Amino acid sequence: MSGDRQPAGLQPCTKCDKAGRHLTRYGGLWQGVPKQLALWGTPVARGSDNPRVAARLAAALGAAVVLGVAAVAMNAARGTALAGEGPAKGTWVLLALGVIVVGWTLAVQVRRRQERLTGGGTPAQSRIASLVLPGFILMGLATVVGVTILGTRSVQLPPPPQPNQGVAVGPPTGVGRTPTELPSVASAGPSNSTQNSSPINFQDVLIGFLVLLGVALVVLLAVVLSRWLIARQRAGAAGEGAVDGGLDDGTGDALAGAVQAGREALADDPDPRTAIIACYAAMEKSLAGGGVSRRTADTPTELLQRAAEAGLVQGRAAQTLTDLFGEARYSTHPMGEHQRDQARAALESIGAHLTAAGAAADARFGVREEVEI
Amino acid sequence: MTASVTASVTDKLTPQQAGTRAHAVLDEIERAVVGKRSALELVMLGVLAGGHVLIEDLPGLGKTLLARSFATVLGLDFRRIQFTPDLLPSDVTGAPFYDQRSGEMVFRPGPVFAHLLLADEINRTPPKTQAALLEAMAEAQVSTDGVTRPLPKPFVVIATNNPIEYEGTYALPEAQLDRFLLRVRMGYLPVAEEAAMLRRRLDRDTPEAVLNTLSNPGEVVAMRDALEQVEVNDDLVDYVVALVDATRRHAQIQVGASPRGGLALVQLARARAVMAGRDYVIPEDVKAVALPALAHRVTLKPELWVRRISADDVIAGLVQSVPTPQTTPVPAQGGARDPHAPHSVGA
Repeated sequence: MSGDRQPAGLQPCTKCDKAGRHLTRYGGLWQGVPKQLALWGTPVARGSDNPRVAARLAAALGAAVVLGVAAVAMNAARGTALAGEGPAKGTWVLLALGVIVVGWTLAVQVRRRQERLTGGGTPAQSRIASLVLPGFILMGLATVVGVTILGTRSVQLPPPPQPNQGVAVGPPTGVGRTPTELPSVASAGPSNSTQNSSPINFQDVLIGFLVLLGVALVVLLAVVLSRWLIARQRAGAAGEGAVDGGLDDGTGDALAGAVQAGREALADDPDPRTAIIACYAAMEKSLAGGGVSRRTADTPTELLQRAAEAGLVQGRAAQTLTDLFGEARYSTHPMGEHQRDQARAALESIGAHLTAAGAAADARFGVREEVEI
Repeated sequence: MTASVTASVTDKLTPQQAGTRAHAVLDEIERAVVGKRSALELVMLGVLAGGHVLIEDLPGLGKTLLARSFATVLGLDFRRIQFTPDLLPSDVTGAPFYDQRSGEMVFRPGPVFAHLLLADEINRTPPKTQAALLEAMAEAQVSTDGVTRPLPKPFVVIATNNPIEYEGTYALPEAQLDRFLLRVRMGYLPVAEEAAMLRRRLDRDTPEAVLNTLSNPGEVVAMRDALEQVEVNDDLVDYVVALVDATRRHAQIQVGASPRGGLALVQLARARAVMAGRDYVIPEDVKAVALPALAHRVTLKPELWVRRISADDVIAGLVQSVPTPQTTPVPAQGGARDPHAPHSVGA
C-alpha cells in the first residue's frame, strides 16, 4: 500500500486525537469539513468522552468558585495587612490550628481506610477514596485562608489615629496607618465589630458556613447510609443462591429413601430412558439431602462439581450417572438395558458413599434448602 | 499423527467421527500453539459451526500463529491481509484491470478468495474497507462490477483485533461485530506453561514448529455437515431463547443480542456436542459457548464505561441467572408436543 493515499485531512484533533477517525467513520467526507464540526457530530465519541469532560467542567467550576471567594475575601480585606485587627484577631490562629488538627485526624483515618481498600475495593471505591484526602486538604486550606482574611476585615472601620474620637463611618482609609498604631485600633476593633455597618457581617458568614457544613454532613450521611443499605441488599441477594445446607436428624432416612426411590425407578419403569431420568432425579434429591441442592441456573455438571467439592460424591459413579442422564434427557436415542444396569451400579455406589459422608458433612453445613426437581 | 486421521474423505461423517478428527487437528495445532487448548477449541467450534472468528487480545499472544496453524493443519488455502489505514476495499475483494492483449477488463481476485482468510489487526483500517468484508463474511460471495462471484467452500475469516490501542484505530461497528460467530480472548499463559513454551523453542532448531496437514477442504465441509445430525431438545431451544431474551431485558444492556446471536448459540452448542462425540446437545454446551457467542453482540449502557464493567462481566452474570431446563421433562400438553422430539435448527 502506498502512503500517498493517506488523506491529508486526517490530522489528529487537538482535543481528542480522534477527528480523523470520526470523519472517516461518519461518511468519509473529510475534505473541507472543519475538524471541530466533525467532532460535534459524533455521538459515540461524545459518549465516551463525557466523564472526562464532566470532570474538567467540575474542576473549572470549582476553581472559579474558589477564585471568586478569594476575590471577595480580598476585597473585604482591602487596605489591611494580613495580621489586622478584625473580629477574629487573636482567635483565628486557634481556629486555624483547630482546622488543621481536625483535618489531620480525618486525613489519617482516610489514609488508613485507603490502605485497607488496596486490592480489595471496587474501582469506584478506590477512585472516591483517592479524592477524599486532597479534598480534606483543600477544604482545610480554604477554611484557614478565609478565616484569616475575614479576621482582618473590620479593621477598616475604626478611625486610625485617635481611639477616643468615636467611630468614624466612612470609606476605609487604612493606607496611611503605621504598624505602631495598630495596638490602639485593636482595642477598639472587637467592640465596634458587632454594632457597625459592616458590609459583611462576620456572624452571618459564620452561621452560613455552619449551615452549609451541616447540610454537607447530612448529605454525606445520606450517601453513606444508602451505599451501606445497597451493599447489604447485594450481600443478601448473593447469599440467597447459597444452597449448602446441613444434615438434620432425618438425613440418613432421606438419603436411604432417595436411593431406594432410584432403585425402584430403575427396577419398575419399563422404559430405560424414563428410569434413568428418575434415577438421576433421585441422586439429585439425595445430594440435596446431603446439603448440595440444585440452583435454578445449574447444569448437571455444575451440580456434580459442587457436590464433589463438598465431598459428597467421589469417583466416576456420579459422572457416569450424569452422562447417562444427559443422553436420556436430551437425546432421542433408544436407550438399552445395559445403560439401565450402568445407572443402577452408579446409584448403588453413590448411595454407599453418601451414607458414609453423612456424618462428616453434618459438622460442616448449616442450612438446608428444598430441592427443585 | 497416524494415517487413520488423514484417511480419505468420506462424503458423510458421523458426529463422533467429526469429533475425533477435530481433536486430532487440535492436538497437532497444539504443537505450535502451546497451552491454549481452550482458545483453540473455541476457534475450532467456530470453524465447525461455519462461522467467522474474532480473536481479540494484546499483541504477542500468538493470534497470528494460531490462525496460520489452523490453515496449515486443516489443509486450507490461506491468505492474510494486514489491515492498514490506507487499505482500499478493492485491495480486499479484488478489482478489474485492463488486459492489453485481449483489450478487455479482467477481474483479478483479491485475497478474500481463499478458504481461510486472516484479517490481521482489522481495527487498523477505516470502516469502508472493513465493510468490504461484510458481504464476503455474511454471504460468502463478492459482488464487483455487477457480477457476483462465490467464494470457495469452506470460507472462514479469522480476524484479530487489538483492544488496547486507540491511536490510529477504527473500532469495529456493531453490525460487523455481529457477523462474527464468536469472539475469543487468548490471555496470558500461566508461568509454568510459558516456561514450557520457551523450552520447546530452545529444543527446536527452527523458529517455528512445522505442522502436518491432517485434513482438507472437503473434509472440513463434511465435518460441518456432521453438525446437522446433532439434535437439539425443545427445552434447550427454549433455554437459548431465554438467554438471548435476557440480554434484551437486562438493566445494564442498551442493545441486546440479535436473533443471529441465538442462531450462533445453537450452532456453537452443536459444534461443542460434536467435539465431545455426542449427537445431542446438553445444557453444558449452551452455557459454555454463551459468553464467546454473545458478549460481543451486546452494547452496554454508556454509564457502565465509567464503572469499568465489561460486556463479558454482564453476560457471565446473566448466564448464572437464567434457569436451565428442569431435571424431569415437562409432560407434553395434550400430547401435542413430544418432549424428546428432535428440534431441527438451521442457520
